[in-house]
Amino acid sequence: MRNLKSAVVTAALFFFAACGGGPAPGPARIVLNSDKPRPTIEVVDVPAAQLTALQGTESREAWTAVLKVSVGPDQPATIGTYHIDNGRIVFTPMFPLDPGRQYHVTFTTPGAAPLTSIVSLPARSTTPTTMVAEVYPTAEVVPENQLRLYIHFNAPMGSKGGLSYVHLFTEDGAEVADPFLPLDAEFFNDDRTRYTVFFDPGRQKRGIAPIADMGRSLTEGKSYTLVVDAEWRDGNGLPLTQQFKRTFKVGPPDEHPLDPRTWQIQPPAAGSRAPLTVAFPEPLDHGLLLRALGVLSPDGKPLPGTVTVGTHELTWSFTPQATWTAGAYNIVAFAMLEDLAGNRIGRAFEVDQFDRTDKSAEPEKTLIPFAVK
Amino acid sequence: MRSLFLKSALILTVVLSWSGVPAAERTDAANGTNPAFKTIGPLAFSPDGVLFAGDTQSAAIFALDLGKAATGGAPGAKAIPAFDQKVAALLGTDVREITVTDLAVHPKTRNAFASVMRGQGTNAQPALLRIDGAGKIDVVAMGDVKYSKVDLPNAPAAVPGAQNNARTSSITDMAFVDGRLYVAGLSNEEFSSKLRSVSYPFNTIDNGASVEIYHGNHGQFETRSPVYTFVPYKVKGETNLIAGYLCTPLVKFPVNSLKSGAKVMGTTIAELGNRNRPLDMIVYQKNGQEFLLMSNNSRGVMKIPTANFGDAASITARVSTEKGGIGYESIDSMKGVEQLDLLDATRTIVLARTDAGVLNLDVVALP
Repeated sequence: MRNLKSAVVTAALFFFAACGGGPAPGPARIVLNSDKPRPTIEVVDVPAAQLTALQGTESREAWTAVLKVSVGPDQPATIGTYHIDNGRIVFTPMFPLDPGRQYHVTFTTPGAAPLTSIVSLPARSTTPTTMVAEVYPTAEVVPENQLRLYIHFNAPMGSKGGLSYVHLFTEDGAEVADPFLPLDAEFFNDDRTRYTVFFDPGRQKRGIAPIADMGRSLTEGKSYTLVVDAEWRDGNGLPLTQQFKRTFKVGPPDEHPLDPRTWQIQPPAAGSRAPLTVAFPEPLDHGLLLRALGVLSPDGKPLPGTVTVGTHELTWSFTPQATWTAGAYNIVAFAMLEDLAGNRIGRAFEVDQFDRTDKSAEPEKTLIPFAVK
Repeated sequence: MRSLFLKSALILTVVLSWSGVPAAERTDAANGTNPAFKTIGPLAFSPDGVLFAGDTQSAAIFALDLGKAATGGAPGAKAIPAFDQKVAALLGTDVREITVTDLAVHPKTRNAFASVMRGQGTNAQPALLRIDGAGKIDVVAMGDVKYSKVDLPNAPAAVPGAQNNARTSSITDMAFVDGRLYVAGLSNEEFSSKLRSVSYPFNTIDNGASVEIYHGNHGQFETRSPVYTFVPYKVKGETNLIAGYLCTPLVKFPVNSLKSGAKVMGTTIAELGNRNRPLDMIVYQKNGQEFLLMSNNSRGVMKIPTANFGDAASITARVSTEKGGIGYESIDSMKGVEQLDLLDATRTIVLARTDAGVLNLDVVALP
């Protein structure tokens, strides 16, 4: 019983050493051992003869008949591994026990009444701490064919999709029906702090049934309020601290490709680590700005550095790790860079293919030269 | 819903970089035992029992040699009411913590395998379950399972070492046909899909082809659109993929037309209607005829004869849309179907959610 912490022990004491063969260690007890990375459920003070009889037990079914752990009295046994260690019967659950959940434990031996117990790890805090930190785009006016929203949280969210918690209301308070892509795929980032919501592309693209029947989700000239419900659960199963609201206006649809010739480049001075700044005539997609734009050194190598996206996603700044040296550099724009409506460099989100003269695939990269002096 | 709008002459453009995959997008396969999944999602078997399992968070595909985990159970698979609740109990948690992500039937034992995520947030854990003909559910112990793994290349960031790249790509469907695994995926940033093709064994080849799909709705507007689910089937001896798009009709195109640099004309089979999206599809034979059985998120299960799929023409010039053509039958007895696979020649196994939200594993005669 070394280092044994009985976090919660409510064992009923019906088991007595009846088999003889030496001094009994005392009534068997069911304990939760939380003094290890994966807490285990153990039966301690088991008479040696009982332990001996259990040696050689192998199958899950045979072990379950002796020591059953379940999430309820009438539920099937929770799967785990069993072994005997230093006079204890140890059940290691295949998956970690949930904090706060009650596990029903029954220890059954021949000729004795079952020993039962309910054990649980301490519950997590129930005070919500997670909130919506920001929603992109942040512009006050978005195009009618706005393609996506990024909802950022200050802590990881749960694994369930969040579309049922995201709503769009018109200025007279009516909820917009089905504005978003009805998709349950994973649209979180890796640490589950950013969730992407796509407007239903069926209602953004011309010439297909949804837009013909339902129209676009957003209408030019109107105002809308985006609402994120506080009931959306975070990674600990807790709701958000508060509801999130953002009101924005809708401008005309944007069906034009990006044109880097309209970008304003402010080159840094040689010998400094001042940021290179690029200003755009319209907001670009926040997520893509963070990875689709970079800088190539005069010898064509990508420069390491830090990217910052400015107010309303109208500027992009790059601060290099090393000081600038004089020379001819390039800004490199990967093909996936898009504006709020999904238009790319040289290619609008949708193209009338019969009017299109250039049938070649879009360029993988676009280079925009600038000089550091 | 007895009528079906047939856009018999629509266009699908497929741009391939079959041999032109940039070096940065190549990844090498890895081999070992005890595969470490972050998440487990889509499943697909090869005809000889290799299980392909998609790890959506890692954007990787594991090919699993199940070994002992594939044997020892009663042949077949048995229906299990309240499947999700029973799985939750076995995994020591509440049903709200369980997400069943896919279902596939072993080609030899006909045992069903289900991929499951247990828990929420970043601590959620994957589990692979086997359901045998006696209704017994086992969790596959991964420790002895041999695997090979191939990573789907993530799009590179323009700034090397950038810490704020939040892009992820998920795998929405996989199918193994003629020695190649086809994989459809979605990104949380670009609204487009890569239909990738990788031959198996993974370790003998490069990372395969990256197939960017474009399509032209009503033969006019060419847009990027993700393939969400697809199924291979043969027509007149030729292997085709029939693909369900997120915002377009169902489209088919021949696999052997996917050649480097090609733009492939596809054929739209059916329009599914507003707010509808195919969830899963199987192809089966009954009474000498072939059918496509398809579950949808809002319109139940559809049964579509494939006999006329091969005859619909593609377009090469601007045309007006047409109506009519292939009809489909709604299978009223199959409600709430989220996943399905062929169990044997006459039955399908499905995961179906009741109006009360309970997920049942059902075995149903093929309609």
